[in-house]
Amino acid sequence: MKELRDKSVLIVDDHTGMLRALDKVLSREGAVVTCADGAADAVEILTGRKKRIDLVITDLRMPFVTGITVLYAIHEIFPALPVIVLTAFGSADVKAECLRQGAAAFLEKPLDTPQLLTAIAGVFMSQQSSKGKA
Amino acid sequence: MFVSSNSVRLGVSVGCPHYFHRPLGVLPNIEFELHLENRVQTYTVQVFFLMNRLMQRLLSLPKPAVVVLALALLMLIGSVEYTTGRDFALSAVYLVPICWACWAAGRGIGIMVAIAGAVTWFMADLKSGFVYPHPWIPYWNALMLFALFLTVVSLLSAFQTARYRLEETVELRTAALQEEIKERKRLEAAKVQAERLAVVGTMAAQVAHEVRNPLGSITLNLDLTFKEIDLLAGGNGHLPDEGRTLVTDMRAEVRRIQRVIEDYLQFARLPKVQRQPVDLNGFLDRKLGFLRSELEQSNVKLRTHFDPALPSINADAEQLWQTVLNLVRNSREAMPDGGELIIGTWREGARALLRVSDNGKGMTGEQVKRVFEPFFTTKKEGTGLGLALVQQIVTEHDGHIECESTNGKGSTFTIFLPLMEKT
Repeated sequence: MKELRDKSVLIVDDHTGMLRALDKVLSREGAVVTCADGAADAVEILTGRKKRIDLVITDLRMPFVTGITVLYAIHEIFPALPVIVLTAFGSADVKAECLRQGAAAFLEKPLDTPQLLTAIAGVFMSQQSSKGKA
Repeated sequence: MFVSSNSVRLGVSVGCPHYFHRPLGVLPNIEFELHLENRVQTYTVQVFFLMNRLMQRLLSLPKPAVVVLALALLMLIGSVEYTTGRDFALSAVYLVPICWACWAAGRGIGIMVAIAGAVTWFMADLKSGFVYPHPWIPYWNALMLFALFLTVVSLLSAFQTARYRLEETVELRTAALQEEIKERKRLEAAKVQAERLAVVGTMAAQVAHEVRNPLGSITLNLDLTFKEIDLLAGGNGHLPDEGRTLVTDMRAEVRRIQRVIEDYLQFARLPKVQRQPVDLNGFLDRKLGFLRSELEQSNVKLRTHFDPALPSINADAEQLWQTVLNLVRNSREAMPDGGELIIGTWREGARALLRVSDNGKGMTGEQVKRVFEPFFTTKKEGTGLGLALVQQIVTEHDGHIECESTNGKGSTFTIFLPLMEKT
């Protein structure tokens, strides 16, 4: 997928199985993947500015700090950074809250590779079109 | 007390008929004992029971029979009066046929028999040959007697009317009370079910989180495995059949687990009902349009009957569609070889009716009784939550749902929803 080539993606999930699977799927598409197994780790990577991050994919329900907090923090510090929420279960209210907090997309597990890639492509495309307009 | 005879002993005993809920005191029974060649046969005649039955028969006779019998009785009393002479007072006995006729055949007949009674008494008196001090006295006496009869008839008839009114009121109140009890039971059952389902929703959300995470990685890993097999096979897209079949089977199983979780999650997802005016006909017509081709592929012919005079209802359109979708899905699964699906709307008083009917497999009476119970299913791979959800949504819309089904012929589900109140 050309949209992902050389893009730096940060994945935040406390399930190592999911982290590994996402890492492999996105790496195969040419992305540079960084994994964080919790919110604290993710914030450290983002604020450390050691790496450029183009996209964040985060789980919602994680120990200590939830994905919503991550989403809120990212939106405050890096308003232009797209964040995809990928959760095991989210009610309509949670979905609405995520989108209100600036999530670029709200996806539910399990989803297959084409669904994931289509959603990512959609996020990059809308980001480009908004940049174009700006 | 028994009186002996050669072969029959006759006696009187006391007892109370067993069919009365409370004892009516001491009632006489007449007992016969038949002694036949060392065999003793006892017969008990319950006097009260016989009298009660006789009274019931007499009071339920048709009007012409009452008139004929009452007049015949009057003639009999008149004859006795004539035979026994003036000294033997029988005037009060005239009240027996009069009261009976009034009670059994109504006030009009009662008055008629009262007139006949007074005339009979007058005729018997006239025939007795008694000479009054004044010729008008027998006429006056007959008139007074008639006035007495008329008073009794009026009182009796007023009492009867009051009794009927009371019975009617009691019947109406009983019916209203029964209806209220039924409604309360229904609401109570709906509340219990809603609470059960809310627990299902809470648990489902927890379980979903635990299960869907590994399912997510399994799904992605299956995609990766598919690609790995492709690479091993030379990357020309020709996967070994066995590898393709295995991955496809695993994907199907994952989808199945996902479907089960989805069924449970419907309860956790159910947001608070957001009502707004919905034109049911237009809404259904629009939404069903998307289903037509899918149904045609399953050889299911969709027919619709929309009542054009149906006013709007106050409902959460999306949730309502979820109920229709569930019913349509069930109907389609009940017609694996195709069939006919009829969806219609009607107005019935202050309610809108939405009916989904199919000519599929149908259900037995026992299955119909349990069809809205959570976890009850007639399908091999069902969770038994679809119709429970439908009922839950309908109840939250202040409506109710009914199911009729004939085994082997098809099922009909009718949703009753309140129409919007005019403001």
